[in-house]
Amino acid sequence: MSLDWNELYRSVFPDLVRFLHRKVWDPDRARDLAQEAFVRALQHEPRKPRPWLFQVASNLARDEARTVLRRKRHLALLKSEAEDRQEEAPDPMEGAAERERWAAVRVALDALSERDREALLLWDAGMSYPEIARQTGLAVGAVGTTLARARRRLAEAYKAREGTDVARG
Amino acid sequence: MSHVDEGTLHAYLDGALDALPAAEAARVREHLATCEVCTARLEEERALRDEAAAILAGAAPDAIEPPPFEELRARARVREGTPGFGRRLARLAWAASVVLAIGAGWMLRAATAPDSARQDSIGDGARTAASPAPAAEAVEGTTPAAMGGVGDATGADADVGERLADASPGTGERPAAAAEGTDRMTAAPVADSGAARPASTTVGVASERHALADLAPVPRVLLESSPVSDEVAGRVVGLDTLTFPRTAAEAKEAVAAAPRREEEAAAKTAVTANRVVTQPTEPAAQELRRSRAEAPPPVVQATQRADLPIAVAGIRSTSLSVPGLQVLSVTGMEGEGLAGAVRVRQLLADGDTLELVHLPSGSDPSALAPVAGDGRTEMVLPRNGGWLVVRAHASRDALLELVRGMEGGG
Repeated sequence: MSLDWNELYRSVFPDLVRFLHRKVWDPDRARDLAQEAFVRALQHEPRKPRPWLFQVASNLARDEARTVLRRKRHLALLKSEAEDRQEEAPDPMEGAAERERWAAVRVALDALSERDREALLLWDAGMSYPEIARQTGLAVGAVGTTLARARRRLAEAYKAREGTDVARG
Repeated sequence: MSHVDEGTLHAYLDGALDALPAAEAARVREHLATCEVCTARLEEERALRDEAAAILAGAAPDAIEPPPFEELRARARVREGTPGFGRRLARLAWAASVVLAIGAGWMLRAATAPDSARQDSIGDGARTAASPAPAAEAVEGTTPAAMGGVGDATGADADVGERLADASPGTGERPAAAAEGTDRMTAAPVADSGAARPASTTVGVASERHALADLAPVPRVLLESSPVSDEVAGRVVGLDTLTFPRTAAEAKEAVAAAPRREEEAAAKTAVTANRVVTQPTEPAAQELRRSRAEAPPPVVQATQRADLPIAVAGIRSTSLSVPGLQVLSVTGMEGEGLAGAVRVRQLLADGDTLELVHLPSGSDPSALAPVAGDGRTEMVLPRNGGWLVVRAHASRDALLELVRGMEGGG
Protein backbone atom coordinates (compact mmCIF):
# COMPACT_ATOMS: atom_id res chain seq x y z
CA MET A 1 0.00 0.00 0.00
CA SER A 2 2.57 2.52 1.08
CA LEU A 3 4.89 3.70 -1.61
CA ASP A 4 8.49 2.60 -1.55
CA TRP A 5 10.08 6.02 -1.71
CA ASN A 6 13.55 4.67 -1.49
CA GLU A 7 13.01 2.55 -4.58
CA LEU A 8 11.31 5.37 -6.43
CA TYR A 9 14.16 7.66 -5.52
CA ARG A 10 16.76 5.29 -6.96
CA SER A 11 14.91 4.83 -10.20
CA VAL A 12 13.78 8.40 -10.82
CA PHE A 13 16.66 10.47 -9.48
CA PRO A 14 19.01 9.97 -12.45
CA ASP A 15 16.21 10.76 -14.92
CA LEU A 16 15.33 13.84 -12.95
CA VAL A 17 18.92 15.07 -12.88
CA ARG A 18 19.27 14.52 -16.62
CA PHE A 19 16.04 16.38 -17.21
CA LEU A 20 17.12 19.26 -15.00
CA HIS A 21 20.60 19.40 -16.39
CA ARG A 22 19.23 20.25 -19.81
CA LYS A 23 17.47 23.15 -18.25
CA VAL A 24 20.02 24.60 -15.86
CA TRP A 25 23.19 23.36 -17.58
CA ASP A 26 25.04 22.82 -14.36
CA PRO A 27 25.35 19.25 -13.06
CA ASP A 28 25.63 20.31 -9.43
CA ARG A 29 22.64 22.57 -9.60
CA ALA A 30 20.69 19.85 -11.40
CA ARG A 31 21.47 17.46 -8.56
CA ASP A 32 20.53 20.03 -5.96
CA LEU A 33 17.24 20.78 -7.63
CA ALA A 34 16.46 17.10 -8.07
CA GLN A 35 17.05 16.61 -4.37
CA GLU A 36 14.90 19.60 -3.59
CA ALA A 37 12.09 18.15 -5.68
CA PHE A 38 12.36 14.90 -3.74
CA VAL A 39 12.39 16.63 -0.39
CA ARG A 40 9.20 18.41 -1.39
CA ALA A 41 7.69 15.17 -2.59
CA LEU A 42 8.45 13.56 0.75
CA GLN A 43 6.69 16.43 2.45
CA HIS A 44 3.63 16.37 0.22
CA GLU A 45 3.50 12.68 -0.61
CA PRO A 46 1.73 13.17 -3.91
CA ARG A 47 -0.40 10.35 -5.22
CA LYS A 48 1.46 10.16 -8.51
CA PRO A 49 4.99 10.98 -7.46
CA ARG A 50 6.72 10.58 -10.77
CA PRO A 51 4.85 13.17 -12.81
CA TRP A 52 4.64 15.32 -9.71
CA LEU A 53 8.41 15.28 -9.36
CA PHE A 54 8.93 16.32 -12.95
CA GLN A 55 6.39 19.09 -12.65
CA VAL A 56 8.08 20.44 -9.54
CA ALA A 57 11.50 20.04 -11.12
CA SER A 58 10.32 21.97 -14.13
CA ASN A 59 9.08 24.79 -11.93
CA LEU A 60 12.28 24.80 -9.89
CA ALA A 61 14.32 25.03 -13.06
CA ARG A 62 12.27 27.94 -14.26
CA ASP A 63 12.73 29.79 -11.00
CA GLU A 64 16.40 28.94 -11.12
CA ALA A 65 16.71 30.37 -14.61
CA ARG A 66 15.19 33.63 -13.43
CA THR A 67 17.51 33.82 -10.45
CA VAL A 68 20.54 33.04 -12.56
CA LEU A 69 19.58 35.75 -14.98
CA ARG A 70 19.27 38.27 -12.19
CA ARG A 71 22.52 37.21 -10.64
CA LYS A 72 24.29 37.39 -13.98
CA ARG A 73 23.14 40.92 -14.56
CA HIS A 74 24.35 41.72 -11.12
CA LEU A 75 27.73 40.17 -11.54
CA ALA A 76 28.32 41.28 -15.08
CA LEU A 77 29.79 44.54 -13.90
CA LEU A 78 31.95 43.04 -11.20
CA LYS A 79 33.30 39.94 -12.75
CA SER A 80 36.50 40.19 -14.71
CA GLU A 81 37.59 37.87 -17.40
CA ALA A 82 40.47 36.71 -15.25
CA GLU A 83 38.08 35.49 -12.62
CA ASP A 84 36.21 33.62 -15.28
CA ARG A 85 39.37 31.86 -16.30
CA GLN A 86 40.21 31.07 -12.71
CA GLU A 87 36.82 29.50 -12.21
CA GLU A 88 37.28 27.25 -15.16
CA ALA A 89 40.86 26.41 -14.36
CA PRO A 90 40.15 23.29 -12.28
CA ASP A 91 38.36 21.75 -15.26
CA PRO A 92 40.57 19.27 -17.09
CA MET A 93 40.68 19.23 -20.87
CA GLU A 94 38.01 16.59 -20.94
CA GLY A 95 35.69 18.83 -18.99
CA ALA A 96 36.17 21.60 -21.50
CA ALA A 97 35.25 19.31 -24.38
CA GLU A 98 32.21 18.16 -22.49
CA ARG A 99 31.11 21.71 -21.87
CA GLU A 100 31.49 22.50 -25.49
CA ARG A 101 29.27 19.62 -26.40
CA TRP A 102 26.72 20.75 -23.86
CA ALA A 103 26.81 24.22 -25.30
CA ALA A 104 26.05 22.83 -28.76
CA VAL A 105 23.06 20.86 -27.47
CA ARG A 106 21.92 23.85 -25.53
CA VAL A 107 21.89 26.05 -28.58
CA ALA A 108 20.00 23.38 -30.49
CA LEU A 109 17.43 23.01 -27.71
CA ASP A 110 17.02 26.76 -27.56
CA ALA A 111 15.88 26.65 -31.17
CA LEU A 112 12.77 24.75 -30.08
CA SER A 113 9.60 26.30 -28.82
CA GLU A 114 9.20 26.01 -25.09
CA ARG A 115 6.46 23.44 -25.31
CA ASP A 116 8.26 21.31 -27.89
CA ARG A 117 11.40 21.40 -25.77
CA GLU A 118 9.52 20.45 -22.62
CA ALA A 119 7.81 17.53 -24.37
CA LEU A 120 11.09 16.28 -25.77
CA LEU A 121 12.93 16.51 -22.46
CA LEU A 122 10.10 14.81 -20.63
CA TRP A 123 10.05 12.01 -23.16
CA ASP A 124 13.79 11.64 -22.86
CA ALA A 125 13.42 11.42 -19.09
CA GLY A 126 11.14 8.45 -19.52
CA MET A 127 7.69 10.00 -19.24
CA SER A 128 4.80 8.41 -21.09
CA TYR A 129 2.66 10.18 -23.68
CA PRO A 130 -0.24 10.69 -21.28
CA GLU A 131 2.13 12.05 -18.63
CA ILE A 132 3.71 14.41 -21.13
CA ALA A 133 0.26 15.50 -22.23
CA ARG A 134 -0.76 16.28 -18.69
CA GLN A 135 2.33 18.28 -17.88
CA THR A 136 2.49 20.28 -21.09
CA GLY A 137 -1.22 20.77 -21.61
CA LEU A 138 -1.11 18.99 -24.97
CA ALA A 139 -3.76 16.51 -26.07
CA VAL A 140 -2.42 12.96 -25.90
CA GLY A 141 -3.00 12.64 -29.61
CA ALA A 142 -0.80 15.67 -30.24
CA VAL A 143 2.23 14.44 -28.33
CA GLY A 144 3.54 12.36 -31.24
CA THR A 145 3.30 15.30 -33.62
CA THR A 146 4.97 17.57 -31.09
CA LEU A 147 7.81 15.13 -30.53
CA ALA A 148 8.26 14.62 -34.26
CA ARG A 149 8.60 18.37 -34.75
CA ALA A 150 10.85 18.77 -31.74
CA ARG A 151 13.19 16.02 -32.89
CA ARG A 152 13.40 17.41 -36.39
CA ARG A 153 14.14 20.93 -35.16
CA LEU A 154 16.71 19.69 -32.69
CA ALA A 155 18.55 17.67 -35.33
CA GLU A 156 18.46 20.54 -37.79
CA ALA A 157 19.63 23.13 -35.31
CA TYR A 158 22.39 20.87 -34.09
CA LYS A 159 23.60 20.23 -37.61
CA ALA A 160 23.42 23.88 -38.50
CA ARG A 161 25.68 24.69 -35.59
CA GLU A 162 28.13 21.97 -36.51
CA GLY A 163 28.18 23.47 -39.99
CA THR A 164 29.12 26.91 -38.70
CA ASP A 165 31.75 25.40 -36.42
CA VAL A 166 33.33 23.57 -39.29
CA ALA A 167 33.23 26.69 -41.43
CA ARG A 168 34.88 28.71 -38.67
CA GLY A 169 37.45 26.04 -37.83
CA MET B 1 -6.63 4.02 -46.86
CA SER B 2 -4.77 7.18 -46.00
CA HIS B 3 -1.15 7.07 -44.97
CA VAL B 4 -0.04 7.38 -41.40
CA ASP B 5 0.93 10.90 -40.36
CA GLU B 6 4.29 11.83 -38.96
CA GLY B 7 3.11 12.26 -35.37
CA THR B 8 1.54 8.82 -35.36
CA LEU B 9 4.72 7.31 -36.75
CA HIS B 10 6.60 8.78 -33.81
CA ALA B 11 3.98 7.51 -31.41
CA TYR B 12 4.43 4.10 -32.98
CA LEU B 13 8.21 4.29 -32.61
CA ASP B 14 7.84 5.46 -29.04
CA GLY B 15 5.61 2.51 -28.24
CA ALA B 16 2.82 4.94 -27.43
CA LEU B 17 0.25 3.87 -30.01
CA ASP B 18 -1.92 2.60 -27.21
CA ALA B 19 -2.34 6.13 -25.98
CA LEU B 20 -4.51 6.54 -29.07
CA PRO B 21 -8.01 5.09 -29.33
CA ALA B 22 -7.84 1.31 -29.84
CA ALA B 23 -9.45 1.36 -33.27
CA GLU B 24 -7.02 4.01 -34.47
CA ALA B 25 -4.05 2.07 -33.12
CA ALA B 26 -5.22 -1.08 -34.85
CA ARG B 27 -5.68 0.77 -38.12
CA VAL B 28 -2.15 2.16 -37.93
CA ARG B 29 -0.59 -1.23 -37.23
CA GLU B 30 -2.49 -2.79 -40.06
CA HIS B 31 -1.53 -0.04 -42.47
CA LEU B 32 2.14 -0.14 -41.57
CA ALA B 33 2.21 -3.88 -42.18
CA THR B 34 1.11 -3.41 -45.77
CA CYS B 35 2.10 0.06 -46.97
CA GLU B 36 5.60 0.33 -48.40
CA VAL B 37 5.53 4.09 -48.51
CA CYS B 38 4.78 4.33 -44.83
CA THR B 39 7.29 1.64 -43.95
CA ALA B 40 9.98 3.67 -45.68
CA ARG B 41 8.85 6.82 -43.90
CA LEU B 42 8.86 4.96 -40.65
CA GLU B 43 12.53 4.14 -41.11
CA GLU B 44 13.32 7.79 -41.81
CA GLU B 45 11.53 8.84 -38.68
CA ARG B 46 13.31 6.15 -36.72
CA ALA B 47 16.64 7.58 -37.85
CA LEU B 48 15.52 11.06 -36.83
CA ARG B 49 14.36 9.80 -33.47
CA ASP B 50 17.69 8.06 -32.84
CA GLU B 51 19.58 11.13 -33.91
CA ALA B 52 17.67 13.37 -31.51
CA ALA B 53 18.19 10.89 -28.70
CA ALA B 54 21.93 10.84 -29.42
CA ILE B 55 22.12 14.63 -29.39
CA LEU B 56 20.35 14.78 -26.04
CA ALA B 57 22.55 12.03 -24.66
CA GLY B 58 25.48 14.31 -25.40
CA ALA B 59 24.10 16.75 -22.86
CA ALA B 60 23.75 14.31 -20.00
CA PRO B 61 25.99 14.79 -17.00
CA ASP B 62 28.24 11.91 -16.09
CA ALA B 63 27.34 9.13 -13.73
CA ILE B 64 24.50 10.30 -11.55
CA GLU B 65 24.81 8.73 -8.14
CA PRO B 66 21.90 9.70 -5.93
CA PRO B 67 22.90 10.97 -2.50
CA PRO B 68 21.70 8.80 0.40
CA PHE B 69 17.95 8.71 0.63
CA GLU B 70 18.05 9.15 4.39
CA GLU B 71 19.61 12.55 3.85
CA LEU B 72 16.53 13.68 1.99
CA ARG B 73 14.23 12.14 4.57
CA ALA B 74 16.02 14.11 7.24
CA ARG B 75 15.73 17.32 5.27
CA ALA B 76 12.04 16.77 4.72
CA ARG B 77 11.58 16.10 8.42
CA VAL B 78 13.46 19.22 9.44
CA ARG B 79 11.24 21.23 7.17
CA GLU B 80 8.10 19.77 8.64
CA GLY B 81 9.22 21.47 11.83
CA THR B 82 9.75 24.80 10.17
CA PRO B 83 6.92 25.26 7.74
CA GLY B 84 7.53 27.47 4.77
CA PHE B 85 5.96 30.83 4.32
CA GLY B 86 3.08 29.54 2.26
CA ARG B 87 2.17 26.95 4.81
CA ARG B 88 2.47 29.45 7.62
CA LEU B 89 0.22 31.79 5.74
CA ALA B 90 -2.31 29.04 5.17
CA ARG B 91 -2.29 28.19 8.84
CA LEU B 92 -2.60 31.83 9.68
CA ALA B 93 -5.56 32.19 7.38
CA TRP B 94 -7.15 29.20 8.98
CA ALA B 95 -6.50 30.51 12.44
CA ALA B 96 -7.85 33.86 11.38
CA SER B 97 -11.11 32.41 10.18
CA VAL B 98 -11.54 30.41 13.35
CA VAL B 99 -10.76 33.28 15.61
CA LEU B 100 -12.87 35.68 13.62
CA ALA B 101 -15.69 33.23 13.84
CA ILE B 102 -15.42 33.48 17.57
CA GLY B 103 -15.22 37.23 17.29
CA ALA B 104 -18.30 37.33 15.12
CA GLY B 105 -20.00 35.09 17.60
CA TRP B 106 -19.52 37.39 20.52
CA MET B 107 -20.28 40.46 18.53
CA LEU B 108 -23.57 39.00 17.50
CA ARG B 109 -24.33 38.06 21.04
CA ALA B 110 -23.14 41.32 22.43
CA ALA B 111 -25.33 43.31 20.12
CA THR B 112 -28.59 41.58 20.78
CA ALA B 113 -30.46 39.91 23.53
CA PRO B 114 -31.99 36.54 22.84
CA ASP B 115 -35.67 36.65 22.03
CA SER B 116 -37.25 33.38 22.87
CA ALA B 117 -40.52 34.06 21.10
CA ARG B 118 -38.82 34.62 17.81
CA GLN B 119 -36.58 31.71 18.29
CA ASP B 120 -39.56 29.48 18.68
CA SER B 121 -40.83 30.55 15.34
CA ILE B 122 -37.78 29.21 13.64
CA GLY B 123 -38.25 25.68 12.49
CA ASP B 124 -35.62 23.18 13.40
CA GLY B 125 -35.06 22.39 9.76
CA ALA B 126 -34.48 25.99 8.98
CA ARG B 127 -32.07 26.39 11.80
CA THR B 128 -29.93 23.45 10.96
CA ALA B 129 -30.06 23.90 7.26
CA ALA B 130 -29.76 27.58 6.95
CA SER B 131 -28.32 29.06 10.02
CA PRO B 132 -25.95 31.27 8.02
CA ALA B 133 -28.86 32.81 6.15
CA PRO B 134 -28.69 36.56 6.48
CA ALA B 135 -31.09 38.34 8.71
CA ALA B 136 -33.44 40.34 6.67
CA GLU B 137 -34.84 42.36 9.47
CA ALA B 138 -31.53 43.05 10.99
CA VAL B 139 -30.57 45.40 8.25
CA GLU B 140 -33.99 46.77 7.65
CA GLY B 141 -34.12 50.30 8.84
CA THR B 142 -30.42 50.69 8.95
CA THR B 143 -30.18 50.85 5.21
CA PRO B 144 -32.32 52.49 2.60
CA ALA B 145 -33.50 49.73 0.36
CA ALA B 146 -32.43 50.32 -3.18
CA MET B 147 -33.47 47.22 -4.92
CA GLY B 148 -33.11 48.24 -8.52
CA GLY B 149 -30.52 45.95 -9.95
CA VAL B 150 -29.96 43.43 -7.28
CA GLY B 151 -31.08 40.61 -9.47
CA ASP B 152 -29.36 41.95 -12.52
CA ALA B 153 -26.27 39.96 -13.15
CA THR B 154 -24.55 42.26 -15.54
CA GLY B 155 -23.31 45.03 -13.32
CA ALA B 156 -20.22 45.16 -11.20
CA ASP B 157 -18.24 47.57 -13.28
CA ALA B 158 -14.90 48.52 -11.93
CA ASP B 159 -15.81 51.87 -10.56
CA VAL B 160 -18.41 50.57 -8.19
CA GLY B 161 -15.69 50.06 -5.69
CA GLU B 162 -14.52 53.59 -6.17
CA ARG B 163 -17.99 54.99 -5.90
CA LEU B 164 -18.39 53.19 -2.67
CA ALA B 165 -14.99 54.13 -1.48
CA ASP B 166 -15.62 57.74 -2.24
CA ALA B 167 -18.89 57.77 -0.44
CA SER B 168 -17.84 55.88 2.63
CA PRO B 169 -16.24 57.93 5.32
CA GLY B 170 -12.75 56.84 6.06
CA THR B 171 -12.19 54.61 3.10
CA GLY B 172 -10.46 57.33 1.20
CA GLU B 173 -7.64 57.23 3.68
CA ARG B 174 -6.97 53.57 3.27
CA PRO B 175 -4.03 52.37 1.32
CA ALA B 176 -5.76 52.15 -1.98
CA ALA B 177 -5.02 48.74 -3.38
CA ALA B 178 -6.23 46.60 -0.57
CA ALA B 179 -9.22 48.69 0.26
CA GLU B 180 -10.41 48.82 -3.28
CA GLY B 181 -9.82 45.19 -3.89
CA THR B 182 -11.98 44.12 -1.04
CA ASP B 183 -14.55 46.77 -1.60
CA ARG B 184 -15.06 45.60 -5.08
CA MET B 185 -15.46 42.06 -4.06
CA THR B 186 -18.19 42.78 -1.63
CA ALA B 187 -19.59 45.69 -3.52
CA ALA B 188 -20.53 43.71 -6.56
CA PRO B 189 -24.19 43.23 -5.73
CA VAL B 190 -24.89 46.95 -5.54
CA ALA B 191 -23.64 47.56 -9.00
CA ASP B 192 -26.86 48.94 -10.30
CA SER B 193 -28.40 50.26 -7.20
CA GLY B 194 -25.95 53.10 -7.18
CA ALA B 195 -26.52 53.52 -3.49
CA ALA B 196 -23.53 54.43 -1.43
CA ARG B 197 -23.46 52.41 1.70
CA PRO B 198 -21.34 49.74 3.27
CA ALA B 199 -21.06 46.86 0.93
CA SER B 200 -21.54 44.24 3.55
CA THR B 201 -24.80 45.73 4.62
CA THR B 202 -25.99 45.51 1.09
CA VAL B 203 -25.68 41.80 1.23
CA GLY B 204 -28.38 41.66 3.79
CA VAL B 205 -30.64 43.86 1.75
CA ALA B 206 -30.17 41.74 -1.29
CA SER B 207 -30.99 38.70 0.71
CA GLU B 208 -34.13 40.26 1.95
CA ARG B 209 -35.26 41.14 -1.51
CA HIS B 210 -34.84 37.61 -2.63
CA ALA B 211 -36.25 36.09 0.42
CA LEU B 212 -39.36 38.18 0.10
CA ALA B 213 -39.87 38.32 -3.58
CA ASP B 214 -38.43 35.44 -5.48
CA LEU B 215 -37.62 32.56 -3.31
CA ALA B 216 -40.64 31.88 -1.25
CA PRO B 217 -39.45 28.91 0.76
CA VAL B 218 -36.30 30.54 1.97
CA PRO B 219 -36.11 30.08 5.67
CA ARG B 220 -35.65 33.39 7.36
CA VAL B 221 -33.42 33.03 10.29
CA LEU B 222 -33.07 36.08 12.38
CA LEU B 223 -29.53 36.20 13.46
CA GLU B 224 -30.08 39.30 15.49
CA SER B 225 -32.54 37.45 17.62
CA SER B 226 -30.95 34.05 17.83
CA PRO B 227 -28.15 33.26 20.15
CA VAL B 228 -25.64 32.45 17.49
CA SER B 229 -23.22 29.82 18.54
CA ASP B 230 -19.60 30.10 17.69
CA GLU B 231 -20.03 27.08 15.54
CA VAL B 232 -22.68 28.76 13.46
CA ALA B 233 -20.69 31.92 13.18
CA GLY B 234 -17.75 29.80 12.17
CA ARG B 235 -19.72 28.41 9.33
CA VAL B 236 -20.74 31.84 8.24
CA VAL B 237 -17.21 33.11 8.19
CA GLY B 238 -15.79 29.96 6.71
CA LEU B 239 -18.03 30.10 3.71
CA ASP B 240 -17.28 31.88 0.54
CA THR B 241 -17.87 35.50 1.29
CA LEU B 242 -20.29 35.95 -1.48
CA THR B 243 -22.47 32.97 -1.01
CA PHE B 244 -25.04 32.19 1.57
CA PRO B 245 -26.14 28.59 1.38
CA ARG B 246 -29.73 27.72 2.01
CA THR B 247 -29.56 24.04 2.72
CA ALA B 248 -27.07 21.77 4.32
CA ALA B 249 -26.24 20.38 0.90
CA GLU B 250 -25.58 23.84 -0.45
CA ALA B 251 -23.53 24.68 2.57
CA LYS B 252 -21.44 21.60 1.94
CA GLU B 253 -21.03 22.55 -1.65
CA ALA B 254 -20.00 26.06 -0.76
CA VAL B 255 -17.41 24.79 1.67
CA ALA B 256 -16.10 22.34 -0.88
CA ALA B 257 -15.89 25.08 -3.46
CA ALA B 258 -14.17 27.49 -1.12
CA PRO B 259 -10.58 26.53 -1.91
CA ARG B 260 -11.22 27.11 -5.57
CA ARG B 261 -9.31 30.05 -6.85
CA GLU B 262 -11.33 33.18 -6.62
CA GLU B 263 -10.30 34.09 -10.13
CA GLU B 264 -11.97 30.99 -11.42
CA ALA B 265 -15.16 32.22 -9.99
CA ALA B 266 -14.70 35.68 -11.44
CA ALA B 267 -17.11 36.71 -14.15
CA LYS B 268 -19.47 33.95 -13.14
CA THR B 269 -22.85 34.84 -11.84
CA ALA B 270 -24.09 32.59 -9.16
CA VAL B 271 -27.66 32.59 -8.06
CA THR B 272 -27.65 31.37 -4.54
CA ALA B 273 -30.48 30.60 -2.31
CA ASN B 274 -30.95 34.03 -0.92
CA ARG B 275 -29.44 36.40 -3.35
CA VAL B 276 -27.83 36.93 -6.65
CA VAL B 277 -24.12 37.26 -6.53
CA THR B 278 -22.65 39.22 -9.33
CA GLN B 279 -19.02 38.50 -9.70
CA PRO B 280 -16.86 41.07 -11.40
CA THR B 281 -16.88 40.89 -15.15
CA GLU B 282 -13.58 40.12 -16.83
CA PRO B 283 -12.14 43.66 -16.99
CA ALA B 284 -13.19 44.18 -13.41
CA ALA B 285 -11.72 40.85 -12.44
CA GLN B 286 -8.45 41.79 -14.09
CA GLU B 287 -8.42 45.04 -12.26
CA LEU B 288 -9.12 43.15 -9.09
CA ARG B 289 -6.25 40.77 -9.73
CA ARG B 290 -3.94 43.64 -10.48
CA SER B 291 -4.87 45.59 -7.42
CA ARG B 292 -4.53 42.46 -5.33
CA ALA B 293 -1.16 41.64 -6.77
CA GLU B 294 0.06 45.05 -5.75
CA ALA B 295 -0.46 44.74 -2.08
CA PRO B 296 -3.22 43.12 -0.22
CA PRO B 297 -2.32 39.92 1.49
CA PRO B 298 -5.07 37.34 1.39
CA VAL B 299 -5.34 37.33 5.12
CA VAL B 300 -6.69 40.83 5.14
CA GLN B 301 -9.52 39.68 3.00
CA ALA B 302 -10.11 36.73 5.20
CA THR B 303 -10.38 39.16 8.02
CA GLN B 304 -12.81 41.33 6.24
CA ARG B 305 -15.03 38.40 5.54
CA ALA B 306 -15.97 38.76 9.11
CA ASP B 307 -17.72 41.93 8.06
CA LEU B 308 -20.55 39.98 6.62
CA PRO B 309 -22.13 38.29 9.57
CA ILE B 310 -21.44 41.25 11.76
CA ALA B 311 -23.03 43.72 9.41
CA VAL B 312 -25.90 41.41 8.77
CA ALA B 313 -26.66 41.42 12.40
CA GLY B 314 -27.06 45.15 12.19
CA ILE B 315 -23.86 46.15 13.86
CA ARG B 316 -22.45 49.11 12.05
CA SER B 317 -18.90 48.35 12.81
CA THR B 318 -17.14 46.60 9.99
CA SER B 319 -13.82 45.13 10.61
CA LEU B 320 -11.53 43.58 13.12
CA SER B 321 -8.52 44.87 11.26
CA VAL B 322 -7.39 48.07 9.63
CA PRO B 323 -8.00 47.65 5.93
CA GLY B 324 -4.92 47.67 3.75
CA LEU B 325 -2.44 46.68 6.42
CA GLN B 326 -0.99 43.23 6.34
CA VAL B 327 -2.38 41.06 9.10
CA LEU B 328 0.41 39.36 10.98
CA SER B 329 -1.67 37.32 13.34
CA VAL B 330 -5.14 36.89 14.69
CA THR B 331 -5.41 35.11 17.98
CA GLY B 332 -8.06 34.41 20.51
CA MET B 333 -7.21 35.44 24.06
CA GLU B 334 -7.74 33.68 27.32
CA GLY B 335 -7.67 34.68 30.91
CA GLU B 336 -9.75 36.33 33.57
CA GLY B 337 -12.01 38.90 31.96
CA LEU B 338 -10.69 38.22 28.50
CA ALA B 339 -13.00 35.46 27.32
CA GLY B 340 -13.86 36.00 23.70
CA ALA B 341 -11.26 38.67 23.20
CA VAL B 342 -9.47 38.73 19.88
CA ARG B 343 -6.02 40.12 19.30
CA VAL B 344 -5.08 41.23 15.80
CA ARG B 345 -1.56 42.25 14.92
CA GLN B 346 -0.92 44.16 11.73
CA LEU B 347 2.12 45.47 9.99
CA LEU B 348 2.38 49.23 9.79
CA ALA B 349 3.98 50.94 6.86
CA ASP B 350 7.07 51.79 8.91
CA GLY B 351 7.62 48.16 9.82
CA ASP B 352 6.22 48.54 13.30
CA THR B 353 3.40 46.42 14.63
CA LEU B 354 -0.09 47.63 15.32
CA GLU B 355 -1.90 45.69 17.98
CA LEU B 356 -5.67 45.65 18.12
CA VAL B 357 -7.47 43.89 20.93
CA HIS B 358 -11.19 43.48 20.60
CA LEU B 359 -12.88 42.91 23.93
CA PRO B 360 -16.49 41.79 24.07
CA SER B 361 -19.03 43.61 26.17
CA GLY B 362 -18.78 42.71 29.79
CA SER B 363 -15.06 42.26 29.66
CA ASP B 364 -12.59 44.43 31.44
CA PRO B 365 -9.90 46.25 29.47
CA SER B 366 -7.82 46.48 32.61
CA ALA B 367 -7.53 42.70 32.56
CA LEU B 368 -5.28 43.11 29.57
CA ALA B 369 -1.60 43.00 30.33
CA PRO B 370 -0.37 46.59 30.27
CA VAL B 371 2.01 47.82 27.63
CA ALA B 372 5.43 46.96 28.89
CA GLY B 373 6.82 50.45 29.20
CA ASP B 374 8.21 50.16 25.71
CA GLY B 375 7.07 53.57 24.62
CA ARG B 376 4.01 52.37 22.81
CA THR B 377 0.89 54.43 22.88
CA GLU B 378 -2.20 52.70 24.11
CA MET B 379 -5.76 53.75 23.54
CA VAL B 380 -8.87 52.11 24.90
CA LEU B 381 -11.98 52.93 22.91
CA PRO B 382 -15.55 51.78 23.42
CA ARG B 383 -16.70 49.80 20.44
CA ASN B 384 -19.67 47.57 19.77
CA GLY B 385 -20.62 47.53 23.40
CA GLY B 386 -17.19 46.25 24.23
CA TRP B 387 -13.75 47.74 23.92
CA LEU B 388 -11.12 48.19 21.34
CA VAL B 389 -7.59 48.50 22.64
CA VAL B 390 -5.12 49.94 20.15
CA ARG B 391 -1.38 49.87 20.69
CA ALA B 392 1.51 50.96 18.56
CA HIS B 393 4.58 53.16 18.48
CA ALA B 394 2.61 56.10 17.18
CA SER B 395 0.91 59.26 18.27
CA ARG B 396 -2.63 59.17 19.57
CA ASP B 397 -3.77 61.03 16.49
CA ALA B 398 -2.16 58.45 14.24
CA LEU B 399 -3.85 55.67 16.17
CA LEU B 400 -7.20 57.39 15.92
CA GLU B 401 -6.69 57.78 12.22
CA LEU B 402 -6.08 54.05 11.88
CA VAL B 403 -9.14 53.21 13.90
CA ARG B 404 -11.22 55.52 11.76
CA GLY B 405 -10.04 53.48 8.79
CA MET B 406 -11.58 50.45 10.42
CA GLU B 407 -14.91 52.17 10.66
CA GLY B 408 -14.82 52.96 7.00
CA GLY B 409 -18.00 51.09 6.26
CA GLY B 410 -20.07 52.46 9.06
